[in-house]
Amino acid sequence: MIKRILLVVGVGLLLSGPASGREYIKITDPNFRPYPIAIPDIKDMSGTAADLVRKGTETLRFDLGVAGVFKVLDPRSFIADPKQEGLSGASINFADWINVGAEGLIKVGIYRSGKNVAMEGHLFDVASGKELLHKKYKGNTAGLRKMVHRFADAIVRHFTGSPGVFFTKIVFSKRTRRESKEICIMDFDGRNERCVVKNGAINLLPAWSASGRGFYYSSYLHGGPHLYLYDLKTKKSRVISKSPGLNIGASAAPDGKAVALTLSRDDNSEVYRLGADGSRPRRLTRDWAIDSSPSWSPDAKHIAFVSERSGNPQIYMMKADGSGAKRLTFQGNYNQTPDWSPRGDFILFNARDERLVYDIFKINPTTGEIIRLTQDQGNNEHPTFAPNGDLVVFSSTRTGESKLYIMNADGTNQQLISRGKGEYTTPEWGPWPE
Amino acid sequence: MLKRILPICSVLALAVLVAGCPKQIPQPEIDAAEQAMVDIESTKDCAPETYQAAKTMMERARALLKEERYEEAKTALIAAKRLAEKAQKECDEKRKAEEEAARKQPEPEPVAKEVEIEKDAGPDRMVTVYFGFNEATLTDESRTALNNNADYLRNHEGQRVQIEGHCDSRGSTEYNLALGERRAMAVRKYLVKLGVNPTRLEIISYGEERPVDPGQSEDAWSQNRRAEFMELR
Repeated sequence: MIKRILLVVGVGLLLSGPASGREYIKITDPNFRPYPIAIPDIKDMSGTAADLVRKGTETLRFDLGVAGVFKVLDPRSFIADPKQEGLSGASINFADWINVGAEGLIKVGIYRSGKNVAMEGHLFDVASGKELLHKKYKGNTAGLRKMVHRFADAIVRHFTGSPGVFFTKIVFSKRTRRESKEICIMDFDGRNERCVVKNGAINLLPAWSASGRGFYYSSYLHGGPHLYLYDLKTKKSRVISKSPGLNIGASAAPDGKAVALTLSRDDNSEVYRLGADGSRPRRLTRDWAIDSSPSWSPDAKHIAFVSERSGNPQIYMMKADGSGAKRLTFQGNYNQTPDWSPRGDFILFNARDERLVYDIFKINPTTGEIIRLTQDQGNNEHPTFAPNGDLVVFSSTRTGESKLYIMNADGTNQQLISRGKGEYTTPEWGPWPE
Repeated sequence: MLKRILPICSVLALAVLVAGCPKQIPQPEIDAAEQAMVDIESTKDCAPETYQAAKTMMERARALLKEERYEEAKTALIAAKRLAEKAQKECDEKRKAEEEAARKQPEPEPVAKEVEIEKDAGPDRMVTVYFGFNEATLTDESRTALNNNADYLRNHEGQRVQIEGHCDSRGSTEYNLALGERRAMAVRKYLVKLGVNPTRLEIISYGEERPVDPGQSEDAWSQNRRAEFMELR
């Protein structure tokens, strides 16, 4: 049944009228169409930056490729002569770029002197030849990726009026040995992976605190599993909840005031809310069925969760005080891991379809409309939204072992981001950096 | 065994035809054979077939003596004595071979004995019980297994146990932790019903985190949907 609900891609270019007079691209508009943009190789202006140019080009193409609003054109199709063209509008033959279907053109140059690096970036409107953006950055060689991310962010802001996700992070659980799992963090593009909770025990289900200064996770370090909060600054964990039985599946309220989680202290899994520090546990569900996997609505007024009170796991929502529980999914018999969009318009979830394959869907909690996001690519699980609501991270077994992927919120543009060995599971996209 | 007896029987039959029925009791042969029968008692285990053949032959000899068919009896007595000697020889050879093997690989094996002792005292261990997909209900098979485990706990007074609930890898990490706990709880409930003191039973759920078989097949999954028993100190 679910299989037949095909990708209903919300496509459209909404022409709203921002204060600047510019028209922003809105992915959520029904007529949205990705903006075709050409990113030729970054130019090595000093003749000493060959490796930086290669890395920088790769980063810039990846950033804008996953940003959701662009269609990054294949550089092999370009006809302009890279040696003839410089960075300035005067040196560019815009007809060459119109002919490859570009509407936007990005020109970047890197200057290197020892460890010092300067980067200059330009954005042109191809049709008019008008320069839309001109940015300059300075730093050292190690900071190049950051400079490229900043330029990519400026471009995304220019077109959407909202920041890009290029400085956000993803937390996840990784199995490196059979008997233990570590909690690790990486950049949104899979770079800079580092495992911060590695105590030899099974550590699982990490979830960012509202501020992004740390994350909750569950660990079997002292039985349990108990719920801990890891602080990225002090690099220390402290206990948040150690009720008898399970203390798992934390979800921080967007206002930072509470955390919802699953406790089994009543001899049955129930959703509870605690203060952000674990104080004042308050039971929200009262049903002799498994209730678990809470996820807050962006206004912190509702909580989506999983319950098998109907006989099999389905997605429900309730008010943040536990009242007014309402079933949302009626298709399939195995729906799990809800994640509420930061825009509030959709709830991601994972469903087992009639072929017993696990795929990712989203449901509009108001209308009940369901949209399928993954299909025929192994098992796809544990989706969570990026803070802009345009991107989703999830785990997939499409190449065998479970790895992490990101995609647009309409299911398009699926890309592998995890790079290491081991089994990557339960990714959670972090909030905007402070 | 039959193979060995048959040629001897034909010899006997021949003897009867040729010699007819002499009247003299073959006392020296009787004494020698009876002594041999006493001596071979120790060969009962190490050369059971030959031992049994000697016994059978001796019985036959005794029967013949009773019927006063002395010449036939004499032949049977000699045959019985020879079989007894053969049994002794077999045992000697066997022992020699074992001693040699033991010299090469000195490994005492009292294990078999211990197992026997425990068997007499009830089940020697607790067994794992298995579940269906997304199920925490006990099957008839599970209940039989748990009856065994309850017997074990009855015979091991004071032994505390951790019941571990596990799931297969399908479905979410979180839901499987809840499901694994349900399985452990269902097991605890049944054991308590069978009279096990609940304070002796702790439960923990590992969800899908500790598979027996990490493979992705129905076979692996069915092995992983289980409740295991860990003895606590």
